[in-house]
Amino acid sequence: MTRQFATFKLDETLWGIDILQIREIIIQLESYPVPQAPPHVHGLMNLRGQIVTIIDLRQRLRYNAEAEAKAGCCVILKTDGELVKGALGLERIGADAVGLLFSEIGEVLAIEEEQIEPAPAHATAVGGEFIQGVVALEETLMLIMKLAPVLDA
Amino acid sequence: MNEEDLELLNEFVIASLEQIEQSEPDLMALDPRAEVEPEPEGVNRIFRAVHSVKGAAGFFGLKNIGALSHTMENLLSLFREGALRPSGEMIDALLSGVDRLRGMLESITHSDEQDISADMRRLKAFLDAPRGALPAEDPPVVEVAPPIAEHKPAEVKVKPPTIEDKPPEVEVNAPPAPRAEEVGEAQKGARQKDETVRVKTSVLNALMEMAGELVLGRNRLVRMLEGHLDELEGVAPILQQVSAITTEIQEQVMRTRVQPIGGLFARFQRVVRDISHKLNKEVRLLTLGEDVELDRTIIEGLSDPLTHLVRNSLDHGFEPMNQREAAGKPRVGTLRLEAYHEAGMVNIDIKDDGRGLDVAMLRERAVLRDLMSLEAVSALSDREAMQLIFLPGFSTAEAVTDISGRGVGMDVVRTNITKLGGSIELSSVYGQGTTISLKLPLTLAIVTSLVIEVEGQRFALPQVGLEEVVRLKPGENRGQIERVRGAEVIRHRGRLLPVVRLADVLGLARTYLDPQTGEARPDRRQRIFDRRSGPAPSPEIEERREGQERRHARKNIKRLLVLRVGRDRFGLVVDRILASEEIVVKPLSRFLKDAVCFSGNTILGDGTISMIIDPLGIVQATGLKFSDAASLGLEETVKRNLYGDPVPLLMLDNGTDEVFALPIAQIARIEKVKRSDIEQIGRRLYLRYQGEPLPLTQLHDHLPAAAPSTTPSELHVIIPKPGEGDTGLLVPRVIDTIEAPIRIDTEAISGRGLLGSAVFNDQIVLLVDIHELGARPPRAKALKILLVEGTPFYRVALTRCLEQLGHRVEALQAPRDIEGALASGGFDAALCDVSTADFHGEALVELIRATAPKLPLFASTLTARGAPARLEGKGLRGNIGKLDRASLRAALAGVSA
Repeated sequence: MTRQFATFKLDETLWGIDILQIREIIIQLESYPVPQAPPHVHGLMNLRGQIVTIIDLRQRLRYNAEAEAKAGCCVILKTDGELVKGALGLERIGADAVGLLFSEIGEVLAIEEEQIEPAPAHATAVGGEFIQGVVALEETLMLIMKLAPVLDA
Repeated sequence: MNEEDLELLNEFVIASLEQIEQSEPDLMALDPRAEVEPEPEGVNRIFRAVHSVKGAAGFFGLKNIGALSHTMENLLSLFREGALRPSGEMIDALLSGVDRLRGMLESITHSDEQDISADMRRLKAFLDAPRGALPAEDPPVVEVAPPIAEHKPAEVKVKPPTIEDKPPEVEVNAPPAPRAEEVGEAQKGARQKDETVRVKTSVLNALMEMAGELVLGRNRLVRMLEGHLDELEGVAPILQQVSAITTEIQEQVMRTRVQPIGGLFARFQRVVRDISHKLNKEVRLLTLGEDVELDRTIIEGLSDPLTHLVRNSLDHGFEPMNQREAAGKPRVGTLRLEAYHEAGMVNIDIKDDGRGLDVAMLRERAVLRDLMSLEAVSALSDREAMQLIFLPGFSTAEAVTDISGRGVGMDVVRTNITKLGGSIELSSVYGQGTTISLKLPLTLAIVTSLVIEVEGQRFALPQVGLEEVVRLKPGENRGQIERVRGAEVIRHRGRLLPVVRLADVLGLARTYLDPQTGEARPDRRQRIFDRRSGPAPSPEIEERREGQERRHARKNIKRLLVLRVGRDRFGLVVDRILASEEIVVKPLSRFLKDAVCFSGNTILGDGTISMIIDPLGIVQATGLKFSDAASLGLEETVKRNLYGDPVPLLMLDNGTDEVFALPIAQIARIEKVKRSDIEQIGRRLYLRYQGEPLPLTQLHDHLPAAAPSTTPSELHVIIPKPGEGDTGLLVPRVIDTIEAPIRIDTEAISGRGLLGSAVFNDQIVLLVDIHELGARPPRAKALKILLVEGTPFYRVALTRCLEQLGHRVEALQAPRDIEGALASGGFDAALCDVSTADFHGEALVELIRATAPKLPLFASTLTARGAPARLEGKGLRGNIGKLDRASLRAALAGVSA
């Protein structure tokens, strides 16, 4: 089975998210900070009247916080209600609208299910618990993001 | 059971519950003991309700419900045929049958496990008893008149979810959807007002939310197109129309959230009936304003507190019947539930004509329960004493009953009402009854809020708990924030309010605007002494000076919002108030569940997202603690009565251990003098002052005070105001000026030259009467003067002052004594305090005027100029500044002339 992944760069790492889980991608983000929020909550955005919580992945995935963060793009995920019925095997993320902050948007790749390999057991450097699988591309690796731990409130 | 069956069963439960609920009033009307005349149609309505429950129960195979409703139906059919006349016992049995049915319907899947044998036996006893003995002339009640569906005003009822996985349902508009057998009748029922359908609450909620979004979207569109309308031909009218329709849609959708309060009131007929029987009292319930509409979540939340209040009233409010008769009251008591609109809120009054509250007993109980001291309690007015009932741990029941009286009553009621954004008040006349008034907001979904700004971030603050906005102007002495043991407080309307800075609570960096450059800079001040309280700490002075300059930047003016949380109040400091806006509350996402200071978030009219501040969360986050008595305002009341207004005093140090204080009102100026400027002539000291020798006196010349051991090279001379004598007071050191509430004690330490003593900062302060230290002026013609003064300090000082002028004084504090004093008569003039906070001087002036129209009357104010314009035309002879001896003398000389 062929799956399509939208790819995003977070600093130098390439991450993939199944396009069926993505509602839309926002390039120009206007967000509002929330005092007292956990550090990985970047803020809230107004997406056509809906309030979306923006997660700062660099904070969440424990990237080097000192490095200069590039103003990137924001991936709005589908809530459980929006997920198409029968999208089997896809993670559910709950009822709250969430956006993930990446530093750069990449292309959409068609990947065969067989290409996906399980996360290496020792991949703790980038936070192994956030990796669902790894795809070896010609020049680089694409990490498929495990959403549940990322969105663990 | 498959999903469809479940849905059907759920329909059955909802319809049945509704039918039996609606039959209750009819059932009670059948009771021969009831005062209401039963409607002939009533018995038919009950019969049909029970019959259809029975029919449907058979269809679902619910044995218990079927059997019980069958037996009830049998008894009812005898009523219907006129074969049996309903007795009170029968109605009781039927009502408990109704209760049992309700219980089974509410847990429908376990209905067959319930024991219905007792109910069955009770009902069967009436069926099996030999009947007949019906008087022949009794008209049969039969012949089903064309039944009319019940006509009730529009209402929305929410049933609690009865079966899992089914969202609760709401019925829009009351009359039940016609059942099969009623369809024909309903068509005939020409009086049927509104057609109704059942709608899922989730659908209504979604509609509601989308209507809110629509409004916000419209607002953004309008804002965006503003200024471009000329370029886009034809857009303006369309925009206007869309805008109008949007508003209309929102209003209509909002209407689905509200329901009339009548449904809730109706439940109390049963409650009142049952409890009054149990207590062997007869009470009639009158309900008024049933069609007043409220948000259904508020109505749901109101059920418990209202039940408690009604039970309370039945249990404690109404006296036993023989007592009522002995008191010349009707045997049957009346309890009124009345709802009405007032000032954008809904008021609900619960009014009984029972025994009323015994204020003396309330006071006694508060003392016995250790809730307040005797002194504090006796300082309360009657009205304030009545509010004691809301203190935790206060119960008026002499015996604990199963109806009420466990001492968890009224404070819990108050908490619940406060949670709904409402308030509760109680008033009572002993022997005549008690009224409890609730004030509630109309809706919870759309909240009127202030949009505030702190450190460049915007927040919404619901206006419900907002009592007042205070401007904190830098550099001004009044109304500034002070520190007490590290915590910030502000004096506000005679109360000490804890102060919280929103920027601090939320962890936002505090900045200030640089007066030169206008840019924001981090504020590193740790402490600000905006007012001195006691000796000025010298290390702070440097910092304070710097702060003074900063605070002159105009944009550094902040706002203090006085917020009420339940019974407590606190002040919240914010940078700016931007606007007042109607906001739609959206719940917080799960990622923000730990942000306790917020109750939700919202999208403002301009599209920005703003967090909604939860005052309760702020109290929790900052760990503010309020004492119960203080939060009720009782402590303040007591203090006010004991202390009155703050008195500005000059604190003096005589070079000994004693501290002296002198009312600033009596001081003209303070001169700093060198020891060498003072000359001794004979036994007296003189100062060359404005070319004249000014006689000087020292504190220890007259007062029971020690003389200083050394004389410093620089001293201070206090020059009194004209009329206070022409002697200067020589003191080694002036400590400070304070303005504090003073509890004057005239007995502990007394003597010539002393007004009395007071304790300030744990130190005894001797209050000096500067007048008595100097030479005495000639005495005026003696007058008898009525002095009404709210601040005890001034009462003592003015009495003394008047006596020194040679007059006789009757000094009163409590307004209630005035009429008696005036009746005893013989006054030549009256001096009435119009400045003490909460003393209601104006009303007192009017009272004196009304009782003694010819008595020369003077208003006593803190400053002679502060003569309140509102008192003009009330026949005042003038205004006299408190302790302004010269004006006082002049004024009274005018009276005696």
